[in-house]
Amino acid sequence: MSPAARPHAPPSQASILLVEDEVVLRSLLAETLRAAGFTIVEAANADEAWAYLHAAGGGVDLLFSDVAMPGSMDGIGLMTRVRKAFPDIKILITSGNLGPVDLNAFDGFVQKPFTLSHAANVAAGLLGMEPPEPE
Amino acid sequence: MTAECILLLEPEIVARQPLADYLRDCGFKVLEAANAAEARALLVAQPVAIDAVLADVGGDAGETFALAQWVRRTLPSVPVILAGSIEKAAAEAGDLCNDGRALMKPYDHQLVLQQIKRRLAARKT
Repeated sequence: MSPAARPHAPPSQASILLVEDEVVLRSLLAETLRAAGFTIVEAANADEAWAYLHAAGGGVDLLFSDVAMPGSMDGIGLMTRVRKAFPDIKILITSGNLGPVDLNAFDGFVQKPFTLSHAANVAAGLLGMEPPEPE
Repeated sequence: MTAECILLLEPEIVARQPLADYLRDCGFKVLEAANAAEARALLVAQPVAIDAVLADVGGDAGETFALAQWVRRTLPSVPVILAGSIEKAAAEAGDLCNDGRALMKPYDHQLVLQQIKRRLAARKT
């Protein structure tokens, strides 16, 4: 069974593709999620994330993506592609200024700015797990 | 004992991710950068104290060489290990390091680990 098909994988096995172009934020958030037991793949933008998903045939349980990013597509374009190609992957997006979007295109939203513990708890909740940290 | 931290600059996610995971499995903290600008931002912010830099010269070699020189000038205690997939670039990287040849790509993870351990050990003597 592929990782993406596991509905309630324990934290040590659940994987998150984290897409964020602000590298310091990405590193801090990745470290927080790793400390919570998730396996994290870091991508600097949507193009890189799509390259990974294409190469891995999906292979993650959750896409956690910023919206506004440089490159040929933004987070909205990425999640649209992911929803179509890998419907088992849950999608969590984050933005400080989210415009009109299709609410069926993603599973969760984290408003920027956010605390690291809040983001980790939302990710865990989407994967059907206990919140890793008090907020 | 606090884990030593490696800053890994590698533009190809399919090369970066498995090497980063391998180094984490070996007990290191790893910060990941997709380009020289990201690497410099992490070196300035230091969300975790960085002990060594492993940088690929394949993306934008000029930017990576500039980063390596900047690290040597501003953070002289932080060793920089360069890697390249092109013979000439690897040779140039080796010259810049003043420490023999640079690592060749595709990465031999065990060789990378040996090189990192050797450079970190040399830093302590």
